[in-house]
Amino acid sequence: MASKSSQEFGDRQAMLDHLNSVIEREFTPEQLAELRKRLDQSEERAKRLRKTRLENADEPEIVFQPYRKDEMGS
Amino acid sequence: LSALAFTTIPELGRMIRSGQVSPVQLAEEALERLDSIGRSLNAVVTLTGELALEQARQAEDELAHGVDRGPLHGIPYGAKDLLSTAGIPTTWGMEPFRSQVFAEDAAVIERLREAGAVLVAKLAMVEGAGGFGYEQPDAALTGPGKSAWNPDAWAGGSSSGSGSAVGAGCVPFAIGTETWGSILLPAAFNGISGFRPTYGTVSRRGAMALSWTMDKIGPMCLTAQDCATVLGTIAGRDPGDPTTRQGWFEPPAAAGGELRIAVLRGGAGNAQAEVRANFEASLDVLQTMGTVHEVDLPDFPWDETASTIITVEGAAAFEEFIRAGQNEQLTAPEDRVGLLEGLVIPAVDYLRAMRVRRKGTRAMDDLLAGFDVIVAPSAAFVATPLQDRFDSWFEGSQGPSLGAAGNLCGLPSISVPNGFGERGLPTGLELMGRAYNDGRVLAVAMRYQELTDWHTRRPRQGSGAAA
Repeated sequence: MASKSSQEFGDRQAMLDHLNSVIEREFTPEQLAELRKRLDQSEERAKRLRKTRLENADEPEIVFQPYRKDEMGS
Repeated sequence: LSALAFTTIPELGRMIRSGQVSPVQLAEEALERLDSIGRSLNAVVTLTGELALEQARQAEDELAHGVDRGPLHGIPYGAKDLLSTAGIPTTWGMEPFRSQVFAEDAAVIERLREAGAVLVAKLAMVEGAGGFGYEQPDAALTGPGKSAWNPDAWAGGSSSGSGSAVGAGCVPFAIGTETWGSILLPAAFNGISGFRPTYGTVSRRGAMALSWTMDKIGPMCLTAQDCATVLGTIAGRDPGDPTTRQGWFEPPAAAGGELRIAVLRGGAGNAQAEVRANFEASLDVLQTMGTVHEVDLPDFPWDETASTIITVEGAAAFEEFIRAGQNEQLTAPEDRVGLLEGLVIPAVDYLRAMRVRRKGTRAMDDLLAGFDVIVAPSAAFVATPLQDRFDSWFEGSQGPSLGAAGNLCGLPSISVPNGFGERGLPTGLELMGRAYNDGRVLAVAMRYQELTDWHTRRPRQGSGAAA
């Protein structure tokens, strides 16, 4: 199944609902305010990142190395 | 002043080998200074007295029998408390880990032990290396780190204790770590030299993980030359950290000839007046070493990319801790919800950040290929008042800086003292280079320190004033 894009998760409330679904915890009003601020910042960052044009060939800066103990050491 | 305080590594080495001072005396003096001055600055988590005296006695005995392990033999040091030490608590600066004890030493601790260095303390740090998003100095289980120059000013973070312990002359060197600013900022705020190596130069085995692709380990010392000495010992391939390679770090050759120095355009634009003036004076010195060229960073969302990666990797590294609600026990109230947002950032956003990062690293290398170093103020301001929250200092109108781009691209960088600013607090000059040019960056910093004496200035003990 394809991942949902951040646009689908979109607004802060959707992310907060998602967070509540993955973590069972009661937040104080202060914590909730702090959390909302951080979710807003995440969403702003995602919007800014989406402004950088990427092509299909633009790979992430992650290099997977197939493993062989006698070659890799550990 | 004592024999130990503010004495550089080569000077201490000469004193040890000439019999002026013994490793045991140095260890005892370091322990004493850490217990008094260090604790008053909230720089100490654990004094490792028993181990230190054992290691110092061994160093002394070996030298007496003609065994010399090199420049760090018998030299005391402190380690940021996120580096594991066998049988000694490693708290990560976090209350829930106050009693955490590992069975093995981190790779860095191993290497320093093999080089004959003497571990005297586990040094204070911001909880979780600052990854939980702290917004004020009081975010560590040992209390807010205080600058060696003024106990009413912050020591910087997250390697707070490493910075202030060296700055106050408690140890000649310390080990810090940086994911984004955690070596360079405390180095600047404590008037010392702090070096961030190229990512992968120093093994992360046994170090707390915050961001696997951005965490770096480096030396914090009195001089750039001492940073080179320590880095020469701790750098190198370690099978326990697959990102390390052999031969990346070459000791600095003299930075002779005409250097090409880039200056970050606008880097000092929004800085405090003294920071700007000191930076301009530094440029005058650098101009005697070569040609200076103003440049812009490539246009990338550096801050956003770095933040996204650290938040997601940090949330993954601490997922069990967060899910178990243990973050409720952290010191700073804002940290108690820190990294939660990382649990719900879509994977595609993280991967987008890593794709942007790949393009960014190449653009940065294109820029830096033409220069020995790029320079900017280490921070736009001196150490902030201890009671101040960060939002008034770190957010908003700081202007361009090298921090996010340099850390995202894993580039080597150093902060060296370059003067004094408000309230007599030290200011710093950052010199950053191309990937794997660690030796070159250190060589340029060493040449700068040959031409200046800011790195020889010391705080007056107890007075909290510049001297």
